[in-house]
Amino acid sequence: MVMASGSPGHAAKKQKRVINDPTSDSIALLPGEAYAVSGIGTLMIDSGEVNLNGAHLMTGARVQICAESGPRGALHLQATQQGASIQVPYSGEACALVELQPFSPPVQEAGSDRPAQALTAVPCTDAGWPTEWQTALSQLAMSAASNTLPSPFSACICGTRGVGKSSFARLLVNHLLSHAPEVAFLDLDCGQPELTVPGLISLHTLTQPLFGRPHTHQRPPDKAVFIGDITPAADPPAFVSAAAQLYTAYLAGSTAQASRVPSLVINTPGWVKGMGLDVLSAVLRQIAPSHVVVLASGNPSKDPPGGSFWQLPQASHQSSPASMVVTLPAAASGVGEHRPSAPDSRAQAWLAFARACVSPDASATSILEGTSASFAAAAADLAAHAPYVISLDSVTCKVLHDSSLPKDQLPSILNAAVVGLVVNPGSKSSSAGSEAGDPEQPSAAQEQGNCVGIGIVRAVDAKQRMLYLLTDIRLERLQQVREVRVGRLELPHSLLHGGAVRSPYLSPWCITSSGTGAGPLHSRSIQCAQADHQSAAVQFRCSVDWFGMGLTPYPAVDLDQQV
Amino acid sequence: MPEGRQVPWRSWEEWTLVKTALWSATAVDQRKGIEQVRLWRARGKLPLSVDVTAMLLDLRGRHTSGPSQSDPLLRLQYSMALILLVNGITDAEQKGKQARSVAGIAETAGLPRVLVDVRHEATHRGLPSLALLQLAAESALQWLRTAYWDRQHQHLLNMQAKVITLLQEFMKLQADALSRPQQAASDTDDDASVDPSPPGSSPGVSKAQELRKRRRQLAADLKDVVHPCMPGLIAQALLQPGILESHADDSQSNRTGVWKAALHSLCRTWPGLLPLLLRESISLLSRQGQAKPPNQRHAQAQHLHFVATLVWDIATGPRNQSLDLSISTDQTAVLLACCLRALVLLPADAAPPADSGDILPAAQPASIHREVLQHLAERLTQNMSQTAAASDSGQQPLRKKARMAEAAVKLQAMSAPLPADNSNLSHQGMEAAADGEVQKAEVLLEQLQDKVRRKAQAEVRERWSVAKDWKPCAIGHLPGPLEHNGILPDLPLVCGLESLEQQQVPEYQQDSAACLMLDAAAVLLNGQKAPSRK
Repeated sequence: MVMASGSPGHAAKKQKRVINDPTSDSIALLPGEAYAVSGIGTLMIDSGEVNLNGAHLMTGARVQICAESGPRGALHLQATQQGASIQVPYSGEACALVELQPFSPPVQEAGSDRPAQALTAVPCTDAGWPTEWQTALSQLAMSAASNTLPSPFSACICGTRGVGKSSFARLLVNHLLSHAPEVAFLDLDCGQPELTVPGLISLHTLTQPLFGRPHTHQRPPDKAVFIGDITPAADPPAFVSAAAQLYTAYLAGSTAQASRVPSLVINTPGWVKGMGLDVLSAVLRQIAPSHVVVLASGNPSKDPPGGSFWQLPQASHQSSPASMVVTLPAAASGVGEHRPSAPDSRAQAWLAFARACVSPDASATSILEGTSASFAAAAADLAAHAPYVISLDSVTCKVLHDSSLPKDQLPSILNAAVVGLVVNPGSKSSSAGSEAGDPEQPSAAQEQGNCVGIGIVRAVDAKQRMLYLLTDIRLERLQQVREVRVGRLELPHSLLHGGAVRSPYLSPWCITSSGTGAGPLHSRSIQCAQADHQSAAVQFRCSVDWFGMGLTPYPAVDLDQQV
Repeated sequence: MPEGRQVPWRSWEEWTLVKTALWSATAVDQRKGIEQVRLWRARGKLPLSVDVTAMLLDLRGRHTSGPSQSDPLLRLQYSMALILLVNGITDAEQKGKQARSVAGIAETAGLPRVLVDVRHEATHRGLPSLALLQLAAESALQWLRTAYWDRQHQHLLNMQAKVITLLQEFMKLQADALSRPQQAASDTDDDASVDPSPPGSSPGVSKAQELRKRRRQLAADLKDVVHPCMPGLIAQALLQPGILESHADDSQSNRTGVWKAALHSLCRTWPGLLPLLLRESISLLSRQGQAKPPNQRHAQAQHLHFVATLVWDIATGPRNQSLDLSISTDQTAVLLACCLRALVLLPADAAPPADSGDILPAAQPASIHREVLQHLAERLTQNMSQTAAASDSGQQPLRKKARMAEAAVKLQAMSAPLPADNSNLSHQGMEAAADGEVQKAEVLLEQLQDKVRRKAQAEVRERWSVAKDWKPCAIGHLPGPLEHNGILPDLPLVCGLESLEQQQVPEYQQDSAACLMLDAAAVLLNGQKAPSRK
């Protein structure tokens, strides 16, 4: 997208100002004219109909917006062609009249004295995404609306990191919502989820369009499984079965309630090489979506292979109908554009979570990008907020990666841990494979409890046998929680100290880790995943079936013979 | 590094316990250390060196205890632990674009060459022999001990020493500043507000500026070493003999001035320092150094008395507008409880025998401590009875200590309200004790304790609820009575790990009402036996 440069764009905007109100800004949209909307505030449709990032908005609609500027952040606003002609002072005829309003009272970034960036609209010449996307989005939406598919419409969006999976998923949701009252969303990216904090995969029913970065629209899931990590790498079979479980829940839930199954959008992790591709393939085999959208960066060493890459060669043309593969170019990244790193976006997600813990009713829309001051303020608020409390004897605790720890030691592990809150804990450990049965069908024994949310165990009082918890879910919902699960999730460093407090687990007086091993082992797995072991991985991949892996242990070999 | 690093242990004390256990000579103690590291592993952020140390010690222990495992399995485990160590150390140093050789990095880090070779063989060729692996494991353990454990331990000692040195210098500068009359007025003001002196000022002024500059620098250095959330460390350091004794020869008024100025200045960076300083003094008074000669002990007690009185004077003195130095009623109650408890904890032989009130030895070991504590408790009680508006009890001919204890109980009841009949019960108990009816008092106190216990049991929460009376504290901490940052919850360590610690430090944490009652009663009973020394 090319921004209308400097003064002409500004002048054009000034001309369109029709209401002489300093707190609001109105724009008359002409046919074919487009605007890039960014900042924080409310967008109101006074008359006509518009399209905002794929979402069809009617007269009278009000949308809360929190969007960054720049090609990927700004929202694309356009009048829909069929809008009736409206008489507007100074501008003559227009298709639609849109009003931009700041929040009242004005939002102020915590810990900073400057008000949040106001909502602005700048004329632009094209959308922030490739033209191929627009065609594909329309076709996908048509296909979903036509109801001619043998199975419910489900689109799985894959691709390596940074190709715009998240943006595409939001656009697709918005397009689908223009034709249907609700859309199901299966969020399988436990590292940078779209709708929750990291560490879980979740199923949602969306009725409102999605705008802006993920941390601006966190919401409680319909159903979720706690993964306890930011990657599926620790326990791939458990991840695949959890994904299958959520898909089953989607099918069951939708048939029970609505006559027509809502369309499903699936967001996937950006780990599409090596073991990541195996996991993705196993998930795709489980779900068999009607459409697979592959966003290709153009670099074959980074992209998933073409075609129906997930099908096992020996098991081709099975009962499930073939999925339609749509390959699209990656979203263009603007020059000098600020793209947050994965840890940074996770930190933003945790910041939004921390704020929701402290004030569950406040809208997450008010955060554009947390600064270090807002982290410190949130940390101080977390420290001061009265937590929920329960007797340690009334909840069970499970440590996902070491289930054999002595029970009396669990308080030490729970203290200051980030935990998954589970309502109906399953009977079997997640990593154990079923002994018999169809490997492609998850058995009931593998059912993993429904995770209703995430909590921070802010303290454990082992003497009084009390567990103190901070969470964003409400007390009524919390009453059902009977198990807390500990994975490897960590709050960002910046939320552990702030104001007059500092967590005891942030230790001063540590010696340097260089050459002493005083620091934790750096996870090189991420770097390994990025490294290009392309050809070998592709050749080897098809023979690995992650889901069946747990069922076929290697034959026992006496090691002495090998020596 | 003011923010610190995320670690699995809650305090350096815990780390030191594990260090002692891991490197102890007995297999049983080593086992405890290994088990605790396993817990740390589950918490995450475990340093590589700790991880590998525990793995190797575990393997060594299992290997020497008997042939429980097959040879190849043991070799696999040894190999994996050593590969983790070498890769972990060298990977962290691969910072350039060009990968450096493992051997080169290992040499810089001082890793024994045998480890590099074993890693190479195990990764690229096959499992090395058990004999070689054991040799490598021994050298790895030796390296881990020097490169990590001893180094970290030494660093902790250095930092502790640094805090004391910096504080000593800080006090010295305060004294220097005080000795200059033109400087004295601005001493209690904020150090940051330096009025720019006109150019060409007199050498005396520039010298004063120089002093102020150095003091600011010192305060900044101190802040780098001790985070503002940890005033407890400053409190402990301030009461170290080195700092106390450095001003022993000064005149009383001079000493008061120096300390007053220093405490004001320190409280700006470490809010909440004063109550902690009081508690630390009380705790030191109750733990009288047995090893010291009696005359030194006497001097120490007097120093502590001086600091505690000064702190109390500052806290109850006129309010400073820019800085709140007052101690709340809740905090006073807790401090009083500490004080009473300390009085109870003082060894019985230290108290002068009841029937021989004639000749007392010149330096009765604990008597000075007892006296100081009693004086402190009295002052605290005075303040309490003023604020609690319990004026009627003053008319009763109750003994001083009985009033003290009563006020403490009342305040404890205020912070954790007991039903009316309970306070009545405690009152009866007090009176019975005061009248010398020991048995009756004990029965009554028993009843009270029982009630408190039952109340606590009734509060067991089977369903989630919102915690009441929450006070801000760090994540991982529980609200504490004196600390802004909260206190560490009492979390279980691996069984028996604590016993490795040489000396158990008595705890001065939140007392339950029942516990306090017992303490108060003990004071009362004790007080009847011991004649008043005034």
